[in-house]
Amino acid sequence: MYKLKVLAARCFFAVLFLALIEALVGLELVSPLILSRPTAIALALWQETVSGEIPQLFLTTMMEVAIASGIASLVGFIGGYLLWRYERWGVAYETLLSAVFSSPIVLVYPIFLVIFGRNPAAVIALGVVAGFIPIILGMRDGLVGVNRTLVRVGESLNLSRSDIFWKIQLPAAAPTIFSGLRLGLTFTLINIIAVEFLVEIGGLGKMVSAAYLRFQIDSMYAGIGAIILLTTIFVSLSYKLQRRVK
Amino acid sequence: MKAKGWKGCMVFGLLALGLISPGLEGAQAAELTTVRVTVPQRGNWDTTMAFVIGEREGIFAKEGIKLDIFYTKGGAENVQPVITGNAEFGWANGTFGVFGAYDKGAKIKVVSASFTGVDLFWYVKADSPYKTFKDLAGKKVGYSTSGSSTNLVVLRMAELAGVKVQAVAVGGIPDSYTAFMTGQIASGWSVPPQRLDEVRKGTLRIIAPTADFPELEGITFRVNIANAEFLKKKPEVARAFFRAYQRAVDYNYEHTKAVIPEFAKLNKTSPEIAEDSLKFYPKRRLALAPVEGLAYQVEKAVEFGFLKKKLTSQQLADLVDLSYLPK
Repeated sequence: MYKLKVLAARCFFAVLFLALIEALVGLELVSPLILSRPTAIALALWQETVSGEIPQLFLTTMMEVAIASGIASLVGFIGGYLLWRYERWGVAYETLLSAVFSSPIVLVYPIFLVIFGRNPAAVIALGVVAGFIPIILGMRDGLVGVNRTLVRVGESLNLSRSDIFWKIQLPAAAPTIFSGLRLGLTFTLINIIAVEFLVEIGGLGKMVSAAYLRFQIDSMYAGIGAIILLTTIFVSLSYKLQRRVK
Repeated sequence: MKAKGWKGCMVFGLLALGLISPGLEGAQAAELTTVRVTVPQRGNWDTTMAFVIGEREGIFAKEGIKLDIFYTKGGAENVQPVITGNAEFGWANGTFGVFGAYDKGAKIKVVSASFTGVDLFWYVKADSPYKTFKDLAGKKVGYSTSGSSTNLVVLRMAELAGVKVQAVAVGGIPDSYTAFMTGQIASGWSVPPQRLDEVRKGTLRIIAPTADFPELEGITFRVNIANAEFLKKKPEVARAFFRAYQRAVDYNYEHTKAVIPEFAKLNKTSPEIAEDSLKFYPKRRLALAPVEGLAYQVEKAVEFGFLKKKLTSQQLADLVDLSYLPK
C-alpha cells in the first residue's frame, strides 16, 4: 500500500508537468519548434520504437554504458584498493584525482577520437575515464573510514589479513564504495551521451543531435525520453545492487 | 584671484560636460535601432568581416543600426534564435536547416543569398599519390556532419567526377585534420584560412579545389534568413540593414589591403595566409541576390531527411523574399 502511495505521489507531479506542457504548446503559448506536446512525443517514441530505430540506438548506448561501467568499476576498485593499501600514494593522489573528477572531462574527446578513431570505442573510453575516478575515490574513502575497532576485533579472533579484508573491511566500507560506484556510473552515462551528441556517433545522443539538426523536435524529445528511461534503469539497478550488498 | 576664477570655471565646465555627455551619448544611442544577428563560423571572411569592419567604420551606424552579433556553431543553433524572435537575422545558414524549419511552420523568410558557390576545399599530404579528386575513388573522404554543405559538396563532386568515395562524417575543421593526420581518412576538408598555412608550407596539398567543379558555382549553399514578424513590423529597418551590409561588403573589397590585417588577426594567422584566403572569396560569391539552385537543394534535403517531401513552388515563393535588398 505504501509503495503504491509513493508511486502515486511520483506520478502526480510527472503527470501534472506533462499536462502543463501539453496545454502550453496546445494553446500556442510556446512554439512547437521549441517544445513538443507530450502526446506528439509519445507518438514519435512509439513510431520510432516500432520502426526499430530507438531499440537499436537504445541497445547501442546501453552496451556502451555497460562496457564502460564494467571497465570503470574494475579499474576503480583496483585503483582505490591500491591507493588505500599504499597510503603515501593515496594521500599523494587523492586531491589530484578529486581535481580531475571536478573538471569537464568530456572536453578532451578529440584525444579519444585520435587514439580510438571515430567509433564507439572512443565513446566507451571516455566513459571509462569519466567513471573510474569517483569509484577510486569511493573505494579508498570507504576503506580508510572503516572503524579500527572492527579490525582489532578481527585480529583478536586471529583472522588472516585476507579474511579481515573480505569479511570486515569491505562490508563495512560498502556504503561509501557504492556511493562512489553510483556516482561513477552516472558520470559514465552522462559523458557517453554527451560525446554521442557532440560527435554524432553511437546511439541515443547521436539521435538527439541529428533530430535537433533537422528540426525534428518530436523525435528529439523522443530521444531525450529514451535517454531518461535508460538513466532510470541504470540508477534503479545500482540502488537495487546497493540494497542487496547492504 | 583671476586665475583662481578661471580654474573654477574650467572645473565647473568639465563637470558639466561630464554630466551632460552621457546624456548626449544616450540620445545618440536611442536613435540607433539594435539589430540582432546570429553568425556562424566566427572569423570567416564571408560570415564575419562585413559586420566587423562595417561596425568599425560606422557604416551600420550611418543607417541608424547598432549591431548585436552573437556567434554560433551554425546549424539549428543559428536558426533557432531567429524563429523565436531572439534575433532579427540569421546569417549564413545551410539551406537544409532552413527548409526543415520552414516546413515545420517556422515564421522565417530567406531574405538574401549569403554565399553562392563553394569556399570549401579538400586536402591530402603533399607527398600523397592522389593528384585529383578522381584518385580518391573508393577512399575515405571526410565531411563535417550528415546533411551539411560539406556532405552535399563531397557527394556532388564524386558524382561530377564519376567516382564513388566513402564519405565519412568527421566533424569540424580541427576534427577533420585530426582524423586525416591519424590516417582515419584519406582526405580532409577545410575552409580558408584554416589549413592554408600547411598548404603554403608544402606539407598539405589541395586536391579538390571546388574551382575544378564549375557546376557548383551556380548553387547558393548558404542563405540569410530573417524573422517574418520583424520584417512585417519593421521593413525599413530591414532595408537599412541590407543597405549597410552591402556597403560594408563593398568597402571590404575596395579596401582589401586595409582589411586583411584585421582578418588575419581575427583568425590568428599571417596576412599572407589571409590574402591567400581571399582567392576563395571573389565578390560575386557574396552577392545577396539571386538565390540559386534551390530546387536541386530541396531534392537533396528530402534525400538527407531534412524534409519529408519536396517544398512546392508556392512554398518556395513564400519562403524566399528578396524585396528588402538594395536595388
